[in-house]
Parts: sequence; structure tokens; C-alpha cells
Amino acid sequence: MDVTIGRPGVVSKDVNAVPAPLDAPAAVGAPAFADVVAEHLDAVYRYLVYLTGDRSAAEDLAAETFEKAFRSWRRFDPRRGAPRAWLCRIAHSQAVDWFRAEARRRKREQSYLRDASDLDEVVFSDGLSPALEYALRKLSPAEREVVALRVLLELDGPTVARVLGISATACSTRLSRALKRLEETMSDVRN
Amino acid sequence: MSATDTIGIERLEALLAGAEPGTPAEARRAALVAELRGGALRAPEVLRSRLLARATAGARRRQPLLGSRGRALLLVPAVLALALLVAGVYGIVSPSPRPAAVTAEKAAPSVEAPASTSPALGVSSRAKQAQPVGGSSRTSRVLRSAAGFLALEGLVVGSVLVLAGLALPLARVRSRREERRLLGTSPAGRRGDLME
Repeated sequence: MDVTIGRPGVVSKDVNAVPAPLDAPAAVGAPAFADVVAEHLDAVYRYLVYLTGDRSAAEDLAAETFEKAFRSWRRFDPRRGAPRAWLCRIAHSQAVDWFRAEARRRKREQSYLRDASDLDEVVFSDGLSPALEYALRKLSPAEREVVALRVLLELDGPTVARVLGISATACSTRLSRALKRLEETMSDVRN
Repeated sequence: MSATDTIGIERLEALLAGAEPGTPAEARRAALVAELRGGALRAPEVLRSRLLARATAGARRRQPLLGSRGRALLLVPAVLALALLVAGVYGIVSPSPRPAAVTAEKAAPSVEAPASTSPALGVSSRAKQAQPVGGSSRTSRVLRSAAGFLALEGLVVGSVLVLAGLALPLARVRSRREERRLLGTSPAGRRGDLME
């Protein structure tokens, strides 16, 4: 895998780029975290919307993710990966906790169905066709997650595999299957 | 060709990287990727301003001298020192076993003491004899007692660590399994139907 090294002090536009040593938190201090928020908030939010299928939950989870990231910013090691992948790892674990809590809540309430009004609203993106929006809903959270990380956030295969804790092959297979299911569902809807 | 033609993983990677589609199936897949990427979704401005304010305010706040790793590194010698201290105190205050020679002597009263000697003198001579037998001074008894207690502590802590070492991978496997179920990558998760 080619690794791009960013220039010191410059916020890299390559999402898979590993920042140069001067970008390290210890060297530039906490203000750099504001740059990280500015650069990656939209990506993390989009990832969480795709994963949870719920914008308000994604907003809360994004806030928690950045709060957690801020607390451990001093420990972030830029040599081990790009900030976006690090943030996605934190967001993933926050989201899993959220799913766990949701499962408990729904079990308590004995209700696994969402309200009809929820199903009508646009969740994933403004500007997507209704067929794609519907097809995205039909994917499992894990499938939407890999679509978000690979397609939307444009992270490379090995990085996404690390975020998800699976092999690179499994990651590619999951992505391929997810895109295929999207196409199938969209085709069904259109026909 | 149907909408679900299989596209190889290498070709899919190439399409994601922006390669030109070569077949109608690839063209459809590339169009899908383009549509997904074209969707506009930005984080709410309220969230952005709140996080930026938090990042800036946090930067002004004084950071703790030690992180959690530093605290853990400081904790290990502190715990060891405490264990040694407790063992030492235990060694001093615990009723240490009397040396074997003295115990034996007590069981079979002095035969060497002359009959004319008074009982008081007999006792003092026994005490004098007991001191050097086996090189067992009070210090060595304290040390032995402390070492015994330390070994006991080690046994207890070691057992706990071994149990934790066994439980941790099991807990991790269980957590991964639950995660797969929650996110719908296992059949149970699909049945659970969390999002649909």
C-alpha cells in the first residue's frame, strides 16, 4: 500500500495520508484538534448516519466520538494511521455501544418496528434517488458501514479492515456484496 | 445482462479508484458509486460549532501531567511497595513460630541443668541456649514470616492475573460475536432486524 506523507503543519486532503511527524499532537498541541474537527466532522457524521440509519443518533454519536477523541488526542500516534481512520475506529465502538443500548431498549419495549413516519424521511443523504435511499435502508448496518467507509469516506481497504476488525478480503467481499444488494434492490424498486 | 452481474474484487477496487468501466455491469456499479458519493450530507452547524468551541476551550485548559499510561506505570511500583510494606508489617506483628530447638526443649524440660540450680537460673540458661540454635534470630524470623506472607500475596494476585488472562480473550470473543449480531453480519443479527 502506498502511504502518502503529508507536509508538516498542512492539513492533508488525502484521507489515507499519514501526517508527517510535525503534525503529531505532542508537537502542535491541542489547537490541531480543532483542525481535525473541521476536516473530519462531516465524514464521521456521514459514516455514523450510514451505520445507524438515524440522523439524531448519528449527531449524538459524532459528539461523543469527538469528545472521546479529544480526551485521548495526546495519545494519538500519527505513525499508526490517519486521523480519519482513528476517528472512525472510535465512532465504530461508540456506535456498537449505541446498538447494544438500542437492542436492550427495544427488547424492553417489545417493539422492533420503526414508526411509519420514520420510514418516509430522508436519512442517508439529501440528493439520493428514492430507490437508492430505500435500498440503503434494506442493507444491514454492517453493509452500510462498509459502503460508507469505502465509498463515501474513501478509506482504503486495509484501513477499513482495521477499523472493522476483519481481514481485507472479508472487507472487500462485504463491500462487493453490499453494492450488489443495493443494485438488486434498486432494480426491483424500479421494475 | 442482469443488474446483479458479478464484478471481481480487483475490478471493484479499480472502479472505486476511478477506473473507466469496461462492461455495462461495471458502468452500473460505477454509476451507483457516483450517486452515493454525490449525496450531500453535512454535519449540523450546531454540532460543528459546539465541537469547535470544545476543542478550543479544551486547548486552553491545563492538561494533566500524567496520562492514563503514565498513571499505570506509577501504580505498578506503588502497589509493589505497598505489598512489601504490608508483608513487612505482618512479619513484625505476627506471632512468629519459636525455633524448633526451643520448642523441643520446652516439651522435654532441661536435663542438662544441675539439680542444685534454682528454677529461675534454669530458665535463663535455656533462653541463653535457645538464641544461637539454628541461627534463628528475631530478624530472621521476621523476614521469614514476611516472605511467607509475600508469597501468599503473590499466590493470590497471580491467581487473579491468570484468571483475568483467561477471561479477557473469552470476553473479547463474546464482544465480537455480539457486535456481529448487532450490526447484522451474522444470521442472528439479520433475524434481529434492528434497522429494517
